[in-house]
Amino acid sequence: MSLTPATTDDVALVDLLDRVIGGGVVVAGDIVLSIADVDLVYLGIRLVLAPAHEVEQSVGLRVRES
Amino acid sequence: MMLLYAVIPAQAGTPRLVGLSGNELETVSSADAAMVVEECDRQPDTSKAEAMQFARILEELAGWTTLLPVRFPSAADSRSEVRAELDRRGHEWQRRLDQLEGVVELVVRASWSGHPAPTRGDLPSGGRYLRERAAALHADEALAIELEEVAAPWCRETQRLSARRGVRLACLARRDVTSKLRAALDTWQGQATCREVLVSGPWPPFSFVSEPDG
Repeated sequence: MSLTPATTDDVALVDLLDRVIGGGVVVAGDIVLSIADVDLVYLGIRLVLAPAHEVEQSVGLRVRES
Repeated sequence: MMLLYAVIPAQAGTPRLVGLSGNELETVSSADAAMVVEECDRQPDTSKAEAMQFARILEELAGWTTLLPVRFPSAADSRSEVRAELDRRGHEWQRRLDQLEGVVELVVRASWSGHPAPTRGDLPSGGRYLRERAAALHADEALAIELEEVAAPWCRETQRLSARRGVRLACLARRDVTSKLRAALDTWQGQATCREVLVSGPWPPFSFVSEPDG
């Protein structure tokens, strides 16, 4: 799977989604990764959308943890 | 449960928008700031479609008032929990909202064309891989410094974002100078054919919700 955007529109989409899930105010009580099933789905999104080295770090961490 | 969308000025009022769960958005207010929320009976779906819809709602909100986006997906158990958070951080958020009035975020990607970062599979030895990798990192750092210099006259703040290849820079700029920033970046790209530049946005200020350190 390639993580490199193919077109300008793809770049915009990737940047927007990356900022939506990676930027913004983090509020106490945030439930983003609090449930295992949600965690997995969320990680799935990042596999598609996040910069690769972040994904590699996330996946690497998971592998080491398991 | 309350889905959280954005922090807005206390006096902004209530937007007439529908949220991800199909309910009208509401505001929970304190003396300093307000939070746009939606009451719902389920946890947010973390699908790409839902994230995109969340982004569209934020863009509509940003066309209506200055805001600090809340990271997707975030929720609180109740209005009182939201109000407690507003009481705790409302003053900080109000100050940041004042600073962000009239500005937007652009994301600039810059890279050297024809010089992909080496991967271990491409190279015969670990030592050569490390040398090539170091050279690529130095090249990217030089590119980042140049990009920051080009963007600086048009930006209030910049922030480097993680990137797999090249450089990604979030730029906070007044809405009315974004065309000048784009023109400066076009000129910069044109000065070296080996440089590739892509700009996306304008977005709400996702990368600039906190005051810069120092």
